[in-house]
Amino acid sequence: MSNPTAETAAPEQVDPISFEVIRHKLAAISEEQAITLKSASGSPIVTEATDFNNGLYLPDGSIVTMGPQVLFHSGTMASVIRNINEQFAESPGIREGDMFILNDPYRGAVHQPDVAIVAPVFFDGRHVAWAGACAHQLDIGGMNFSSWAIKATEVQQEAMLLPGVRLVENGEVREDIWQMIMGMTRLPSLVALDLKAMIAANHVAGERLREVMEHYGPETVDAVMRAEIAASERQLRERLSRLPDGTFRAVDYLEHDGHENRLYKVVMTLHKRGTELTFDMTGTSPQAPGFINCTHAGLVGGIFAGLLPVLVPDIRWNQGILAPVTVVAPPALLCNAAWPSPVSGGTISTVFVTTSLAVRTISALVALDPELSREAVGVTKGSFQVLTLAGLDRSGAPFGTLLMDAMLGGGGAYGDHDGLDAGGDFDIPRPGVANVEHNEAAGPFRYLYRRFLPDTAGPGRSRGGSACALAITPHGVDHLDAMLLGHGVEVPNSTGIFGGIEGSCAEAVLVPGGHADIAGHADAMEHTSARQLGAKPGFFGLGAGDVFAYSFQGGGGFGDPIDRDPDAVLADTINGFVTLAAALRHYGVAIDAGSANTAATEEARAAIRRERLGGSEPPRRAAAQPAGDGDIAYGPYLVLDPSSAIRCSCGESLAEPGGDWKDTARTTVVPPEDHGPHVRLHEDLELREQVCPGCGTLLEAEVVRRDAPSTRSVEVMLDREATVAR
Amino acid sequence: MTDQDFQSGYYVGVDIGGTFTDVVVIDAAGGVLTVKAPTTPGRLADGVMDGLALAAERLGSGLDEFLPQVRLLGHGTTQATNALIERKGARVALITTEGFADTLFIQRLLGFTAGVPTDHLGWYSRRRYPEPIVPRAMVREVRERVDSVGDVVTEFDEAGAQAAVAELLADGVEGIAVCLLWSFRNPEHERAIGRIVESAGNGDTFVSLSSDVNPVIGEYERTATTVLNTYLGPVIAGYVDVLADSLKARGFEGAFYILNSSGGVMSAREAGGRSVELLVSGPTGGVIGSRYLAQELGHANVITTDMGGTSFDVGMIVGGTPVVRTSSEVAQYHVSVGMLDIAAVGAGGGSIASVEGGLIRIGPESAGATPGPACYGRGGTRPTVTDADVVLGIIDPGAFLGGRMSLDREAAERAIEEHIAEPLGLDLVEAAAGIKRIVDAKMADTLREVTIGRGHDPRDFVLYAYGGAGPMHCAGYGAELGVQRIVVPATSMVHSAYGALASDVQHVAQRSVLLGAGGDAPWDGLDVDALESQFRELEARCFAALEDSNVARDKVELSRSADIRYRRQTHDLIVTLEPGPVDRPKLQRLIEDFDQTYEARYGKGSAFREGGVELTTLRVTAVGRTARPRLGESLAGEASSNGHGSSAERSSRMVYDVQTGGHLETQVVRWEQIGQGETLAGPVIVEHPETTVLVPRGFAASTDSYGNLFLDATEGL
Repeated sequence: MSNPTAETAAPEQVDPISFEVIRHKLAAISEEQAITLKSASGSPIVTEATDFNNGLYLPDGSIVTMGPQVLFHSGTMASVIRNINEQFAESPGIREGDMFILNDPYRGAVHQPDVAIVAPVFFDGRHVAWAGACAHQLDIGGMNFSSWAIKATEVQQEAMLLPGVRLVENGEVREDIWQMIMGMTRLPSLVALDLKAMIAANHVAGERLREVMEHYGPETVDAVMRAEIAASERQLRERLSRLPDGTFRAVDYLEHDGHENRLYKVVMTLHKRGTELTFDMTGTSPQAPGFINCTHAGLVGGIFAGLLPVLVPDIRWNQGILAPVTVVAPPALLCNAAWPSPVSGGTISTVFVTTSLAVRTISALVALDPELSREAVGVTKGSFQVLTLAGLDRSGAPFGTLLMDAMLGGGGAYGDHDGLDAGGDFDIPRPGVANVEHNEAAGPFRYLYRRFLPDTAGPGRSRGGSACALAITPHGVDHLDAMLLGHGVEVPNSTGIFGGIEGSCAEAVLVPGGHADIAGHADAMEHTSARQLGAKPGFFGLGAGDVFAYSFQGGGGFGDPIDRDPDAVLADTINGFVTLAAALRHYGVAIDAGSANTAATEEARAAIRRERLGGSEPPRRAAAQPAGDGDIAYGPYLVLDPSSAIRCSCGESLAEPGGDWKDTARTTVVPPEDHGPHVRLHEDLELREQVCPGCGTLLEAEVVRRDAPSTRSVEVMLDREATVAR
Repeated sequence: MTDQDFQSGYYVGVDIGGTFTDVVVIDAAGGVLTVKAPTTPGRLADGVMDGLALAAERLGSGLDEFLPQVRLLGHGTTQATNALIERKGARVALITTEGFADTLFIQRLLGFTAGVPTDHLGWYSRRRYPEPIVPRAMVREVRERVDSVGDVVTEFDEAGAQAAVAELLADGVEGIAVCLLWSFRNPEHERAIGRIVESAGNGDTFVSLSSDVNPVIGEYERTATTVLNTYLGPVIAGYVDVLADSLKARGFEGAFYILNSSGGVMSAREAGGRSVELLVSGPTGGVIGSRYLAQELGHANVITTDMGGTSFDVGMIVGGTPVVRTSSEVAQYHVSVGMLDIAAVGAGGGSIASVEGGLIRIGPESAGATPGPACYGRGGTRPTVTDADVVLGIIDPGAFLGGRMSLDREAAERAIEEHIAEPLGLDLVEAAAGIKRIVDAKMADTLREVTIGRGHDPRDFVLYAYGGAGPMHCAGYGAELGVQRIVVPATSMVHSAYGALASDVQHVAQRSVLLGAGGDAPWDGLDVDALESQFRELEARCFAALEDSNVARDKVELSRSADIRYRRQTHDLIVTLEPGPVDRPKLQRLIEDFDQTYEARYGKGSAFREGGVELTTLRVTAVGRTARPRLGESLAGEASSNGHGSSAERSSRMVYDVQTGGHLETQVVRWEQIGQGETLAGPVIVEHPETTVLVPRGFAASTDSYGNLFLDATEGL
C-alpha cells in the first residue's frame, strides 16, 4: 500500500500526524536497541542495574532519542560523537558499515569503564544519523581489577584509553583492534559479550532507521528528528519563561581523594534568566591528586541527570533540553579536571554529587511555580559505595564481581509524599538489583542479611526513603579480595529540602571472625569487634568467617519533621522504619501502647520549638498565612511578596527585597545525633539549623564547612527590571 | 476419542469480563452458539448462571435440561487479577529466613517502575511502590539457612518457628506463605514449617510453600509468587466452590476446568491451590481460542490481537504453539510462573485523544464504559478512537451493536472539533483520520516489538483480530506490518470464552539448576544420567498433577525443555529437548538449537559459544488433551435469532479512507450475507450484530464455512 506522505510531505513541514507516527517509531527503535543490548549482555551491571544508555543522534551528534537508562550519559553521547566527527572524519574517515569505540573521558566518556560504541547510519550513500550505545564494563584494564584506580595520580594509569577507534569496518569487526582490547582487560569474555551486545544494538537501530526512511522518505524522517528536538526546546523555554528569574546555590562535599581523607567541596550556582539556565561551578575545590575528579563530559552528565527528572519529566529528552543550558566551569577544578588528572572514580564521586546539587538547585527553582512545585524533591541517596569481590571460586576458577546492591538507599521526599524506601540511584530511571540467590550462585560468598535499617530515612513533614544494610561473608573459600570505594560516610550528602533533614550517612565495617555471632540476626555494625572502614579503604582481604557489612544513605526529608502527621509516624514505627526513640526525638510524636498520644505529642512538639528558639516560647503560632495577590509560596513555609521580600507563613518578616532570609533566621549548630543515629560528620563539617524566629519552624537544615558562611540558597527577583538596575 | 463420544452433549466456554459474561456453546456437530449476559459484580457466579440460562433458552430448552447435557465447562477468569488489583485477597502472613524479611518490600528495586510506560519512566514524582499485599508487620523471620548447593548452614530453629506460627495464628491470619532462601535446593525447613502450621492451626489456614508453588531460583520472585498464591487462594477457592455447587445443583455432571495463564486448564478443585497461575487467565483465552481455530484452518504462525475498550493485547503462536514467558509482572509484583507472552498497550476504542505541544496523543487514558466515548451520549465530552471511527463513517451510528445502541454522531464531531481539529487548525475529518492513523501506528509498534523485535518476520504470520474494536482497526495496523492475511473469527466477540473450552489440561514442573557445559564437545560437563533422573522426577510430578485433574496417564503428552544461556549471561532462552531418554547426541542438538535460536534473535555472529553454555532450568510440560468436537457450521437459528434475515439489501455509504485521504463510496454488507466463495474487494464495511469490520481499499473480504471472515491484501505494500 502506498503512503502519500512519502511523496507529498515537504521536508520542513511534516503534518502533525506523520510527525507523531514517525517519532513513535524513533522511540520504539531506541527501546528495541535497549532490549537487544540487555538481552545479549552478560553483566548484571547492564542487565539489572541498567548502567548503560543508547539512542539515535543527528550526524553532528545532537541527541534525537535516548533510552531511560543511566542519565549520566545523556549529554555525553553527543560529545562522544562530536569528538569522533572532529578528530577522525578525515582519517580514517566515517563510512558506511563503520563503528567506533571510545572510552576516553577527555574525549566525551563519563569515565573509562563507560565504553561507547557508535555507528554512523547511511541511507542511499548519505550519512543521515548515528546510532550509539554505551555500557559500564566491569574491567577495562589499568592498575586495579575493575578499573577503579584508587591510587592513580594520572589518567594513563587508570585503564585503557580508546579515543574513538574504528572497531567495525565494512560491517566486520577488526580482529586486530578486537584482540588488542581483549588483551588489555582482565575479563575478556565478559567485555566481549558486552561489546558484541552494543554492536548488535547499533545494527538493529541502523536497520530500523533505514526501514523508516525507506517508508517515509529520508527528508521527512530527518525533518521529524529536527522538529522533535525543536519541540522539546520550545516546551522547555516556555516552561522557563513562566518561572521567575533567580539565583539558586547549593554546596556538597566529598571526603577522601583516594590518597588522603581530605574534604572537597563542589559548589553550584544556578542562574535562571528568562529562558536560559546557567550552571556555574565557580568556587568548587581545585582538582584532586586522586581519581575522584571528573572531566567536563562528566560534569555535564551529572547536571543533566539531576535536571531531567525534576525540571522536564514530561518533556521528551533530547538535544532540545540541552539547548537553553550553559555550563560554566573554570579549568582544573574537581569538576572540570585538566588532562592528565585521574578521573576513573568520577562517576561515583564528583559526578554523583553534581547530580545531587542539580536536584537541589532545580528543586528550588521549580518550587516557585504552583504546578511544578510538586516535582521539588529532597536528595536521593547522595553517595555510592563500590564494592568489588575477586578471588577463586569453589572450583578454583577465577571470579570477580561488582556488587550493585549499593543502589539500595533511600529516595528523596516530595511535598506530597514520602521518598521511596529503597529508591535506587537518581541517575537510573529503571534500576534493579540482583537476587541474593543469584549473587550467591555466581560467587563464593553468602549474605547474612539484606534488609532495611531503621532510622535511615531523613526526617521531614514527608520523610525520605529508608536505606538498606547488608552483610556478607566468604562461603566455601578461605579468602576473597575485596575493594571498597565511596563517599558520604562522614558527609550527609542526602540533604533535605525546606526544613527536611538529611538521610543517614553510609557506613562500612569489617568484623574479623564475626560470622557466627552475626548470622542473620545481629547488626554487624553493632558488633564489638567491628572495624570502621571509612569512605575509601581500597583493598582489603576477607578471610573465612570474616564479615563485611555496609549500609547506604537514606533519602532527604521535605519540610519540618514536627509537621508530620502523627499517624504516619506511628505507621513508620509499626513497620519498623522509625524507632520509638526517633519518633519522639525527631518528630515529637509520643507513642504509647500502639497509638500516638495526642496531648503528649503536642507537648513534645511545643518543647522542640522552644528548644530551637533557645528556650523561649515562640511569639507566633505556626500557621499558614494565606498568600496574598502576587505572593509566591516558596516551599511550605516561605512566602515571597511582589517586591521579593520574604516572610514566614506565620507572618514573621524574614528579608527585605534583595536580602537573605538566613540573616534573620535563628541559626544554631546542632550535633549530628540530633539528625539521626546514622548521621556522622567529617571533622571539618558542622550541621546548622535555620529556624523561623517567629514560630520556631525549621526552615532549612544545612551541612556546611565549619569556617564557611551559610550558603545563600535562593535569590529571587520577581521584578526583573529592578534586578537589572541593581 | 471416537466420533461416538460426540453424538450428544454440549461443550461450553465461559469468560467473565468487566461488562459482560460471555458464553460459547459448541454442540456435538461443532455448531457454535454465543451469548452475552451482564456481569454481576460481587456475585459473579450469578452472571455465569444467567449466561448459561440464556444459552439454554436460545437452544430451546431450560437450564435444568441443558446443564446435564454439558460434558465440559471451561472457564477463564479475571477473578485473581481483580482480587489483586482491588486488594481483596486473604489476610496473609509471610515466614522467611532470618535477615531477609524485607525481600518482598525491596522488590529488587523493580516495584516502582513496574508497569510504567517507557516514556513515563523519567517522571520520578509519580513513582510509587505497590500497596503491600502483606504488611511488613506480618512478616516473621525464622533462624535457619541453606546455601546455594542445599547444605544446611544454620540449623532450623523449630521452637522459633513454632512461636512465630502461634503468633500469626493468634492474630487471625487466613493464610501463611513460606519462602526460605534456597528452599528449592533443600525444602526440608519449609516443610517443617508447613507441618507446624498444620498441627497448630484449625485446618482452615491456607499454606503455600515456595518449594511447592514455585521451586525456582530468585528469592524475590519466588516470594512474590508464593505470597500471591496464598493471598488469592482462598478467594479463588471460594468462588470456584460456589459456582461448582450452583452448577451441580442444576444437574451439571461434566468436567469443570479453569483456564490458567499459560493457556492450559486445571480442574476446578486444583485452582484454589494454584491461584497464582490464574493471574492472566483473561487475555489467555483469546490466544488459546485462536490456536484452536488456527489448527482447524492450518495456520502455524499467528499473531493474535485483541483490541477492546481500553487496551490492545497481542499474543503469538509460533509453529502451532503459543509463546510462553517464564516470568511476568502483575500489579507491580513479579512472579516466576509460566504465562503466555501477551504484550499490552493502552490503545482501545475508548482511548482518549488529546493535543499536547501541538501534537496528537492517544491514551493511555481511557473513557472506559462510563462515561465512554462522546458518541455514547453518556456525558463523555473528550474524543476517543471510537468517536473518530464514527466521524470517518466506519461505524454507522444507527447500526452500532446491531442497532441495539444508537450513537450520537454530533457529539463525536463536537468532541473532535473542539479538542483536536481546532487546536491543530485541521478540518474535522482530517483530525479524525489523524486519530485513526496514530492509534493504528501505536498498535503496529507493539506488533513490531513482539515480532520483528523478537526475530520474527510478520509477513510469515496470519493476523487474528478480535475484541470490540479489533475488526475495525486490524487492516490499519496489519497493513503497517505487511501482514498478508487477517482473520476475524466467527467467535471474535466472545473469543476468550471460546478459548476456555478449547484448552487442554496442562501442568508445568520445573527446577532451577546451574549446569555448565562446553569444552571439546558442547556437552562436556553435563551428567547424562543425572539429567535423565531429574527430568523423570519432574515427569512424575506432572503425572500426579494430571491425575488430580482426571487425566489418565496414557492420555498425557510430555515435553522436556531447558533454559539455556551463554556462560555469564543473565537472560536465557527456552529450548526444547527431543523426546526420549537424554543422551549426548540429543544434548549436542539441544545446544546447537540454542545457538540457532540465539542468532535468529540477536543477529548473525552474536552467538558466543567460546565461554560455554549454562543450563539454568529444567522443565517438563505435560498436556492432557481434553475431548472437544471439531468446528462445524453455525448452530442453526443463530443468525436469524439476531434479527437479520437474508433478504436484507446491500447498501453503501461514504467512508473516509485514511490512506488516500478522501471519502470513498463503500459497500456495506452483513457478515452472514457473504456467500461462500464470494470475494468482495475493499472498500467494504462488514456489519455484524456485535461488531463492524473495515475492509479498506487494498484488501478483499471472504468467508469460510465456519463463518470466519478473511481479509487478504491485494496490493503490494
